[in-house]
Amino acid sequence: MRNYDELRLRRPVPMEAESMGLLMTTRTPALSPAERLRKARGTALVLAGLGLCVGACSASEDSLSSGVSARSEEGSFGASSDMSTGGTGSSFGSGSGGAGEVSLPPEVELSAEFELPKAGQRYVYAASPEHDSVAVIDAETLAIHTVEAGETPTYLQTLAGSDAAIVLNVGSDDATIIRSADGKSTTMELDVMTGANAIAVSPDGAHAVVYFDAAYASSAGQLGSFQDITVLTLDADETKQHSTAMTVGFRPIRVFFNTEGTHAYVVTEEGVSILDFAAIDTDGGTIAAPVPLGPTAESLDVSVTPDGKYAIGREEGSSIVRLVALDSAELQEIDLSSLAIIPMPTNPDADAGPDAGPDSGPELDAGDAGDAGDAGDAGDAGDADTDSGGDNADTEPSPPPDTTSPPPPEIISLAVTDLDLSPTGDFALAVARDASAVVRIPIPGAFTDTSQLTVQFIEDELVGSVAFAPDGNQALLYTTISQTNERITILDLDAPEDYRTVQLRKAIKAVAIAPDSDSALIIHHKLEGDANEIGLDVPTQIDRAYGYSLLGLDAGFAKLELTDAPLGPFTSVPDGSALFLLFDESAASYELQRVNLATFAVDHMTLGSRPVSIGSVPASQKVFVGQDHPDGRISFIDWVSSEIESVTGFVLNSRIRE
Amino acid sequence: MLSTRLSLQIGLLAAALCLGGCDEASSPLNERLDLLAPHAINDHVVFIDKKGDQAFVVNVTDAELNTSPSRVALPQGVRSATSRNGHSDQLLILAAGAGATSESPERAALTVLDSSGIAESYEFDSTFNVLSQSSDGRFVILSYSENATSESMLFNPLEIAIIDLDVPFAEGTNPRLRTLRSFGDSPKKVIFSPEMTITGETRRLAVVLFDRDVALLDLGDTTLPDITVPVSESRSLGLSQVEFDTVEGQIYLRGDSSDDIYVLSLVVPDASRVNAFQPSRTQLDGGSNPEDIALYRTGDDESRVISVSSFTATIIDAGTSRTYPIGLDSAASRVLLFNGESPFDANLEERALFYKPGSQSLSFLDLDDAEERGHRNLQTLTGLQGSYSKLIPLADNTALLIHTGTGLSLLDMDERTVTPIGSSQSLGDATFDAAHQTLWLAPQGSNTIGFLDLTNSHPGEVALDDTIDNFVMVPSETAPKLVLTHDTNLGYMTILNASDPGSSPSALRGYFLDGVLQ
Repeated sequence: MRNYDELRLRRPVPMEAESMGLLMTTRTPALSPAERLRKARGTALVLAGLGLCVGACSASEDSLSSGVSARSEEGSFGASSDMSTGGTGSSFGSGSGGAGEVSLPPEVELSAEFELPKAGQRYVYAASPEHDSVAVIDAETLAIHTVEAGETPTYLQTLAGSDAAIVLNVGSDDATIIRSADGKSTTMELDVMTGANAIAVSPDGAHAVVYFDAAYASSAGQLGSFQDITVLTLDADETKQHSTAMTVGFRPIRVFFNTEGTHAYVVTEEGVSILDFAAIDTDGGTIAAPVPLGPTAESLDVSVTPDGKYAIGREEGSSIVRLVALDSAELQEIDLSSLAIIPMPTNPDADAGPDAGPDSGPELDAGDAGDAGDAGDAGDAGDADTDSGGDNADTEPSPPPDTTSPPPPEIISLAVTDLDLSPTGDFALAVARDASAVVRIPIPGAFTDTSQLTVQFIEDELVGSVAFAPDGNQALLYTTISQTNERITILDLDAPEDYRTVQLRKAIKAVAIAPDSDSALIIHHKLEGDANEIGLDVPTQIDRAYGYSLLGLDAGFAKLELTDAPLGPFTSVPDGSALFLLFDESAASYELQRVNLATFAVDHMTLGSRPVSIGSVPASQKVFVGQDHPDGRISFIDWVSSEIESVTGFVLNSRIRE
Repeated sequence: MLSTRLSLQIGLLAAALCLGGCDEASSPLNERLDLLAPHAINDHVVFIDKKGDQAFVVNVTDAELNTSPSRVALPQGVRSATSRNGHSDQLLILAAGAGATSESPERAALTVLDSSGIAESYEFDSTFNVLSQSSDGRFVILSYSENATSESMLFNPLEIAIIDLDVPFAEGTNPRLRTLRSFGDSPKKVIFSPEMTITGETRRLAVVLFDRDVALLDLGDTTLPDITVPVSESRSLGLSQVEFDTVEGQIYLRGDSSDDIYVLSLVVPDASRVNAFQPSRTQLDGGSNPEDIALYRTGDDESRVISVSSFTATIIDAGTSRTYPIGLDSAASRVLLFNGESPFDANLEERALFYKPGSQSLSFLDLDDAEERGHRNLQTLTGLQGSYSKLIPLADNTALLIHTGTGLSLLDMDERTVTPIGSSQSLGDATFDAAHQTLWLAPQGSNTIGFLDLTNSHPGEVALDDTIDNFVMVPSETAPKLVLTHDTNLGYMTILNASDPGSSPSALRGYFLDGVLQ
């Protein structure tokens, strides 16, 4: 835990019933709320034990008036009764309002993920809707054979780790399962729901969930079913392959699988529908009623833990984080709506060392709360404090000014702007941009014991989004809503107080971390205006250009690469040695770039036609690039030597006769 | 100078006619032979009489001028004769035979004729009229032309015969007849590949061009089925040119009606294939209707294709399919690649010469880094002494430009200089003798033959006793000859020494009469 003079860890104040658990302290001169927001520092344990409502409590007078609270309910939504305003004699203010009424837009979360390949281990699959076929290209030899699919094969997904693919035939409402080996492919058709446009495949490749994703509905406006899905049971023995129709909650948004691949979790607007593959294979189709995750809202940002036990989610603009146990449907909430900040006392004796725990240092009492109220004079959040502090002062004789007493805590909004689940699923990080804070939420412990919550404030930074490194050891904190904020913070999850902020050269639009967790790709905003306008200074030129940065997470070193066009799809090779980038359709040239992730050296390559898709083919150590060509063109790039080979018009290879 | 023997024969014949008051109409002298153009095999000139189903093989060496020519009976229905590639001592004669309904039915055949007679005869039952042979003369494929007709009621235009001329005739196997697969088209052309490394082995292929499809035949095993590759699905391509990348095992195809260049990569076949390879088809953007293509490799050993069309040369990276168009200062329709120097660079590098028959300009392109440097690597020669109708590559990176009208020029491609050589005659029909570096001009109907020694630009001419009908260069291990035939029923030729054309010529007459009086 970082030691700051301004920070002291305080244990909860034995206050009245309305008192809250202390979150942190800070020495606060008369600052504006925004300034206090920026000045907030350090890590504090959320001492939410006292005065907090825990367990399956219901709203009561003893419940916490503000601050972090925990409540569990079963299967129902409802406003937290803890979100009460200030209360008496306490240095607490309203749970809402917080410090600073900065009105900022929501964080924009782009799908800046490393592109999933449409390739198996050795073969690349390219659907040809107009020919009702799929071309199967051997990335090693460039031999091509074509297999017949259903009518208008359109949506294709490969089964990771194997040379197999599923293609949805939108014209015949079925799926073709393609398995390739030794230059040949076998196919099998399975019926699927009408209008399906999305495929999710389990990690073991034994099952797939086919559904209609409204977010990717075609421009033709044709809608598929909002509650029908098809479960495909896949097996190398085709006699065991079959499809099963299922009904789930309204509008599937995303599908998760548990690590073993035995279950799928369909996130819908109504909650999470659970698919038990063993039961489906045995008993057939049924209704998978969704497990609710709180109030119906379209902005639930839901993730399911890898073990399939819990689903966690948030709502845009809300400070509530919800957790539902998927087996029991037990719903729990944490309300991060209040974050109390108690100014540090000026008495040096009252200063505790960096390892001060809840038991160290002077305790905060009501008098202190009154003093805290003085410090809370500035800012809207302090108004209530001031009022409360004033009230306190009115009821008791005015003691002489005690500079050693901490000012009353200030309330800063902790509306969650991003919530990400760790790769292991044992905790989540919630980012509260207004407080520049990231809250670590152990799962499920924090929902029953909020003392497990830890908060890390990122000093002088504006952070609203988080991205986990795949190895779960680090995370990146940043904001996407500012066109002038050019900084990113590297958070060591084992020692969060040792965070490092890296100065970039352009504002951040999206972040993706490489599979080996050593580096990250940062896509930048482009400001309005022509970067080549005469008379501009260099920073302005940079701001007006497209570009990306490469960030080494260990060294914290960043390299800026300006580009002529916005970044398009990209992929990393499996060993993490290189990154291949495409540019979007506005690019004037047919360029792609190869980035050496060890040296950040960029190699520029140009193809014969516009690149539109990219992926890696592990067994051949090649990257394939699909291009826009009337007859179809795919180039294969050796990711070690950068040698390029292309095939064009490969569909006609299906008509070669011997 | 007549040989004594023939002179005597003519004299006796004339006497017999006069004494016998014979009917001229029935005189064998009055029966005109139906001769194909004469051909040459070592030390001999061969005259093929289609009407008589026979060949006259005349020895033109000095020592044998007095020897009677041999008459060789040929199969009925001779269609064509052509020299066998790589075998100067053999002639290939294609005959249709005579159908079953004729008086003397006879099978069609391909006859291999040498100076001693018929060396081999390959018989079959189809009346092919097109003969294609490999550059080494080993393989022949017989087929039908597009407008072929047949005396029989039915015939199969997709039928071909594959013959290995190094193997004796064997009924059913050599020649091997087969019917090609087609998507509705008929064969247009047959091209033989050089030896290529295909799937790790050295192979030779025959490529049969259709309008928009190709058929591949493995000449190593003609029992294997042909592979039919649809190059285009719907458009007419007019496939006409094939280039082979023997290193990569690839075939490049150009069509007269296509903008694209099609590439067949011959890769390891999947388990279901019978042939030892399978083609993987792709295509490259060749520019706007390219008229010629050529293959080369860069200094980094990468494959490149260069195409030319009018005022644009296009370099195509065969790996990425990326194209690099380069504007030409003068129109071109042909490209000739050579490895040589330039006036600015003494290094031996790949360079291209662009030209167009009928043009007065030439362009040189240095191919090293041409993708990046583009037009800066281009040099154009203009203002030649006149437009040229032919460009004949010679040795040592030189070429002969035969001008339209009169005159010719010698092009030095390394120095990029053009040396004009005057001529009072049109040289459009001149014949180039590579062995002697001599250009021969023997216009039909003229009684003079001209020649130009290209090694010293020294011209000469020889006056003849009669007008020229045909001109034949006769190879020989000892004394190559030039033979000029004259139009007569009796047979009359003038024989020149190719090494010393100015020396006294010989003449031979009456060789068609040999045996008539016997």
